[in-house]
Amino acid sequence: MTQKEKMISRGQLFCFIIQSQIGVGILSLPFKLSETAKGGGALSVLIAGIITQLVIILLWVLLNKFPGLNLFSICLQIGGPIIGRILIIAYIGYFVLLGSNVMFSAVEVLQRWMLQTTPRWAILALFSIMTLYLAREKLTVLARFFTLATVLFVPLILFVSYGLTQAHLELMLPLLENGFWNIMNGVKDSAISMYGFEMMLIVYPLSEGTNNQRLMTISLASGFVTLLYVFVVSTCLMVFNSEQIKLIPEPVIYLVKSLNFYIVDRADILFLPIWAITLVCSIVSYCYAASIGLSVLFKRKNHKNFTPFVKISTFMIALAPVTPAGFHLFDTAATYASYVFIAGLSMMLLMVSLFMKRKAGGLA
Amino acid sequence: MTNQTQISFTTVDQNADYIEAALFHTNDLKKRRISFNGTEGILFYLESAADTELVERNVIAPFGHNQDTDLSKLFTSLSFGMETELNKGIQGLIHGGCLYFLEGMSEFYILSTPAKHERSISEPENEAVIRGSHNGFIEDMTVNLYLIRKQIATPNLTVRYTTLGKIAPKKVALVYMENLANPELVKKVDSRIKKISLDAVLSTGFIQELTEDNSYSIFPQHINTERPDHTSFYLLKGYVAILLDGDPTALIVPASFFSFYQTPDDYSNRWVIASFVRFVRLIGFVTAFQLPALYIATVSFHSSVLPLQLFFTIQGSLTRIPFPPLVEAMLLELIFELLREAGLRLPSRVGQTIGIVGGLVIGDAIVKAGLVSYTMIIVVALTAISSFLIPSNEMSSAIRFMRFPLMVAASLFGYIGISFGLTIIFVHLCKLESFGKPYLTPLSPINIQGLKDTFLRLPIWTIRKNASKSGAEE
Repeated sequence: MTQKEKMISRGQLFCFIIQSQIGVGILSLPFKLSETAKGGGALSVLIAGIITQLVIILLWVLLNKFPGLNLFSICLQIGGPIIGRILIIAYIGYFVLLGSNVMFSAVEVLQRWMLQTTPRWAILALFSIMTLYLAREKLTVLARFFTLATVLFVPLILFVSYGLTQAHLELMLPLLENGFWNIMNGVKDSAISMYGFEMMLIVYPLSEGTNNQRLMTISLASGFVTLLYVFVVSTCLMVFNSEQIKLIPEPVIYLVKSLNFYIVDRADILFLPIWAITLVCSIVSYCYAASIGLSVLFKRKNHKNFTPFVKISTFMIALAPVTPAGFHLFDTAATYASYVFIAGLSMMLLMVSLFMKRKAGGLA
Repeated sequence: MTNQTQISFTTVDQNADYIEAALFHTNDLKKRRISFNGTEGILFYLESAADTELVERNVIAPFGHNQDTDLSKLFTSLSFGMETELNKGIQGLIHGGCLYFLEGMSEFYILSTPAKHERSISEPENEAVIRGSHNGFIEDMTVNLYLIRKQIATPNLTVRYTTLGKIAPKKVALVYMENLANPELVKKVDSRIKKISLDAVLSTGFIQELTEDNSYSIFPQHINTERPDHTSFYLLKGYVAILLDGDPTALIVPASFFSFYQTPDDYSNRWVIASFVRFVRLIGFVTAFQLPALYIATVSFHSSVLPLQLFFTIQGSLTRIPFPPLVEAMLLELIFELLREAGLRLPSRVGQTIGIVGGLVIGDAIVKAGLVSYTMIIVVALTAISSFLIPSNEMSSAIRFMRFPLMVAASLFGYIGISFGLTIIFVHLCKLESFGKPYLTPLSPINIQGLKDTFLRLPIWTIRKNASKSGAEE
């Protein structure tokens, strides 16, 4: 590797954020929202999107305080060698946890819909090998692949749009059926599917453009994801009535399954393999982040040699839960970890950095 | 004796002994004693390297009638030089020259009389075009350079020679447009070529393998062509061409994936037609390596994807087959590869027999014997035809090779296996670079200007505007 890693362009940054954000969450999101927000599900997603934008701006402020540094270097700057390292380890743990959570849920869905008899470890190993192959590459290579994978959204969106032919707008109304508070409850569920934008903490220093341009790009990416989710959720809520949707944990796949394209009878079987590639992108970005963390921790220039360790640990963690209770615990842990690390710890870092700045300014 | 700078001796016989010893008394070394104005002299040439008729006419004959003039005036019809170092003389001999030593003279003459036995310039068989120029490179580098210069008559066309091979040296030429090629690219190509340390460079394949970015990849990273117009087309886009003396193939770098899907014919067709043809090739690309895998996955795992009628049709032909689809497919694909390889090196008349035996006899018998189903025959035949749609032979082989691992993946994990296999292939393609240029440009990283001439071939006025930029300057 040369001394200076090549920067990624703004288009690539856009695709990178989109690919990291879109994961398994969306497949079951309409189901979760129908429990809480009912008809107002789309509103919940919209609000979650706006909150995400606010968090993005806060993270952006933090990143601008330390130009050219990524999250891990910022931790070292703020916390010093000891606290900084503890923070780095915590963040690595978080990325590993989320990476394995995405992988776990992906395997869950694939097993339920396509590979019923394949043992779980086999699919997990498949995911692990593939993500390992990509995650140990340079960021430019990741960005190139993510850009390619973004093309796959065209068939995915077309598949879902085809469902609109069976939509009934009245199924979604009234919007405020379950009241304002339940919509806010739905926001919590939707926020989980928004995760992935925190990748900006890693890739921001390695992308081109002025600060404002980069903020615009990331916001646009997140906005695109929000609108896509709103579209998917409202389509599902319009196609299925509230009784039906209670029985279907992954309404998006079920929606696609019911479509008939003349030469293809069950489109869900085509939908899932394509979807799997965008899942790979999400997992890869978490693994990449964790490996970068390790390389900062051990002061190495190259993250290549750390990726296998990250991959093995995500594989182990994803393999661990075997009972439904375990699944649930795993999900909850990932959810709360996200709150703590993205919102909590980042805010704390921001506060401390503001304080430090003032102190430094006072001394000077 | 192997003194590197042996100065010529003053007596003719000493010189003659030295030359003969240095060439190990090879039998094709000819020695003629010809005196000039009464002084003794000796002429040497290699009959296998020099043009004997030229020597006879322009070197030996003049001695007969112009004995009294200055010696230099005898050879005015040839290019010649005076030399004192014998080893340089020997080099001259090997490259087809004549040496003339005169008694008592410290210098000797080197006359250039190389034999030229060249194939005539003809159209390369594996790159025929319907419209456009019908000449191709031959085994002589100067002729090849002439062909390029004829297409690009500008002082900006630059040629840099290097000599490769420690035991059997050969000339290599780097050709580029001084004003269009990225200087860093030229430097990179030059340094990689100079790093080659081989005893002999027999073909451009050696240079190709030793200058690649990734030698473990199955994808070609140099464009190779025998067409001067194709080479000039790339030179004018800022690429660098590598020519090797004695090889009719030019290597052009940096290659990108899509350059293997383009032919010179695309630019002589009407642009709508050309775009359509490119689209057909793209379909060919997809079917060439995916169709067998998709078929295997569909019939062995996901038969519910098929509409009921189609399912019954396929199932009907499958019921009698004793093998799982993977074995069935592998069997047929292997037979196809066997036939292809057998037909490749046979004269065309025998080749037809192969076609009949392979295509008709085996194809029909294998189904009637109940070893393979009709649908599988259709799939494999379609795949084979699609793989021939790819203009570049190297890329076509790479694609054909790739379908085997994909078939295995499909038979293990169904569609998921295919999508994972494709992911690995595309990650590899994203990773690949040819002389610093990403292999998948202009698709990823995206370059709108480049895309106009990738999947489609938009009108020339929209493409060529930024010709100098779209080339190698990434």
